[in-house]
Amino acid sequence: MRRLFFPLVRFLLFILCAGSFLPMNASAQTVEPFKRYSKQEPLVQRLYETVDKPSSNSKQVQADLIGTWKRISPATTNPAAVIMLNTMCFRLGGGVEYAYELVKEHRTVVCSETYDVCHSGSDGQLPGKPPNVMLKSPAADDDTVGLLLDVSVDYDNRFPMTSGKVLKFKDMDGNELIFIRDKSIENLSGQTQDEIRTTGENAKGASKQERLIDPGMTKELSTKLKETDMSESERNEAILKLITKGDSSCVPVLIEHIGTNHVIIVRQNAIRALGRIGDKAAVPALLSVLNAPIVGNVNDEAEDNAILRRNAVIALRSIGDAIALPALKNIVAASHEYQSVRNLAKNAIRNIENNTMQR
Amino acid sequence: MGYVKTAKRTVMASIMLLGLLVTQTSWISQAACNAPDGTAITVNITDPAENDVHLQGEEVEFTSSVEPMVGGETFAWSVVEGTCDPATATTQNFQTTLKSKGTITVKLTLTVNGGSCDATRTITAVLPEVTKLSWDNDIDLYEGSTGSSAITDPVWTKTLGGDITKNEPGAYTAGDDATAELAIEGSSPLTHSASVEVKGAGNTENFYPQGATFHNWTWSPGELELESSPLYESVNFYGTLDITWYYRVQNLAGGWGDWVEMNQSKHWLFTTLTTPTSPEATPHEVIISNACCWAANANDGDSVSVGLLNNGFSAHYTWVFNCHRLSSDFIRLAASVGVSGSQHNWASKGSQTSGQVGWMCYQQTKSFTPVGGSAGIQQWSWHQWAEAAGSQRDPSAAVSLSGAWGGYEDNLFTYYYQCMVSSPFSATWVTNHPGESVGCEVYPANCTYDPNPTTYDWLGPDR
Repeated sequence: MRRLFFPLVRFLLFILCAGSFLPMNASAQTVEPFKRYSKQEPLVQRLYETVDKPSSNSKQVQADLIGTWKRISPATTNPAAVIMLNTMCFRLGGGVEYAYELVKEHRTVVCSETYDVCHSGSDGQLPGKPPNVMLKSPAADDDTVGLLLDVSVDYDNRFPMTSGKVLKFKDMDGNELIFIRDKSIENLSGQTQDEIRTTGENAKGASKQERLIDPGMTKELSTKLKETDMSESERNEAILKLITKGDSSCVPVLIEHIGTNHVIIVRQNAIRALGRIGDKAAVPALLSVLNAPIVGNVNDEAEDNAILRRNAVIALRSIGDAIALPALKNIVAASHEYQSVRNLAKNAIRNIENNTMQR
Repeated sequence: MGYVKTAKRTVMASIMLLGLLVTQTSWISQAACNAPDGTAITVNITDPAENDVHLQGEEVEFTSSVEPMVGGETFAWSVVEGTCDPATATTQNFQTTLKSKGTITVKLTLTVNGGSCDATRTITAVLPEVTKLSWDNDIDLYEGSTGSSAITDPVWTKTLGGDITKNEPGAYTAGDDATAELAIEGSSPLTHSASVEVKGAGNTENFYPQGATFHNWTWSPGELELESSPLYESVNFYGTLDITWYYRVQNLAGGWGDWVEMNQSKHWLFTTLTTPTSPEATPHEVIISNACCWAANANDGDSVSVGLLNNGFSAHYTWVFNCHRLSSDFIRLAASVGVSGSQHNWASKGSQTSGQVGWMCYQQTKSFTPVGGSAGIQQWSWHQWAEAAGSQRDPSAAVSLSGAWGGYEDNLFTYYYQCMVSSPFSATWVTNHPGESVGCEVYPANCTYDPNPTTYDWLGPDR
């Protein structure tokens, strides 16, 4: 009967382990997650006997084993402390390859050795009671089995309640390896891994580019900037603060500082502040910067005029008002223009048009 | 003999005292000359003050005062330590540009009424360095290949005069310009603030000049930002983007001095096709790095996908019944550069309920060549692959097939194994039915289709 059985077990479950990209020649490992026993062991012999009894439940067990399983118990098994199985995929009609992680060495090992999973004899078993299963290594010595297992398919979802089906492998020494379906891990929290990530992304996204608007400071600086006895250096320092803390209320005073009666650094930073604040009320003033004739050498990207024009285009891009598009398109088409300004205008047009379409 | 010794001591003491007097005179930057009537004339360097700190490359005016002026004075300026241009002058005041860093000592020799006297002034010239760089308006990135540990600003740091202490990558969408926010530091704060322009000259892209004020080396957020020339117009990477940073100082009479080189910085910078999407809306650096390398020069979703399959999966992956992980990696790679994808999973039912007769137990493929393997027919109970840019993308075999997923199922599988409940060992092979619009055989009776299978953590190689 036993001899009749072995040809039949060839169709049984095959395990695949995923989780590594080490080349196969890196898989020459002597450490195995599965313990070997001699076939002469009385318990092994008994299990061979029981395995020899196909049952009507066999296919049910097969079906339950198909899929991806993830180990949830570190277990005290095997060369255990240093070994952690990653993911195991059980399949019909093939061999088993398995991967495991050498935790202490921070690497994953793929073993190419295959195992057959044999099972049967679960007729009449109550839910949760184990059918007899063994994992046999065809490549191993005939007198040993790769792993002798007691596999419990937890039909009634007793452990853990929220995880769905559970596979429990037990060896003769009483060590257990417990696996749950991979997707069940995500379900435990009610969120998929991607949902969890997305939540994290949003949290970070909110902090990025954050402007700490300070209405009190804005009002104080705006008032100060209207004073006539302020030096250009002091004006610049005040405007730099408005870049990060200003709001729409300071737009008028910033527009005043774009004018030619101020030094280049003040004008440049006033334009930048207007862009950061993003109020459309600044658009006409910014366009007037671009409409001014270019009197310098367009090949000199370091000219004051080039700096002002670049910053005006960047500010218009930040504000994103489509009303600026014609002027920006003129810049792209103009022959007498700084190349940097033309490049930035092209970019600004794309950004503004994309944003307009998304709305 | 005793007399000789005493005389020697007296001479030595006199020499030492004289030396001390000379030294003292230098310290106070003044000397005495005499007018024809014997009145003592003093010469002073009045500006800049002793030990003032200026920028290398800054134009400085050394001014002198002579009291009283009697007429016929001649001035001779010279640089006795450090380098200035010009190095000499014969005017009462001396405008020169500090060309070296460190100590600069200038001497003024006044000649009047047949005599001469000196004044010296020592100042420090500082050569600052870019010590911090952050990318602005960029794409947020996560560190590594999994988890949600953000790459934080600044992405590049170095100690003043020392080593680079941090260098993390950045990313922009193709054709964007990069915005570099800089912090610049010098070994000492400047005595007076200086109007400067800063620019970056790169091996591939330049950073356009921008105005700034150098003073005490504390920088508020957004204070100094430089815009780059347009980045690659396709999916690509700069590895590395080398930038040499320069500044120039506004001259005393307007205009600008020469550009002064500060230091270099080197950066990893990626360009994506569009804004990255889920599940890599915030791409992990390892994933976007590989995606931009494998899909380099791609400028649409199809060429991105083909690049990933041909340069990535064919060369760096091995199929070992891990189709689901490869498919998942493809989705992450494509998403990291802005190409949305989806996955398909076609499987036997795997149910424990009764009525399995006629179900698909497992499938048999046509002969195909899996990545990292050799051609052959495979049997499996389920298969997972991806779809992106209007085509099926199977990373397990690094192939694309345009159209819906059912077409690919028809293309890949030739048979399926039909289960027989009465005798599980005598299941029969059934020929796959081509052309079924939903793809599966007698779907959904004997197999399962999952349109939204799991996306796993990254499996592929490090960057």
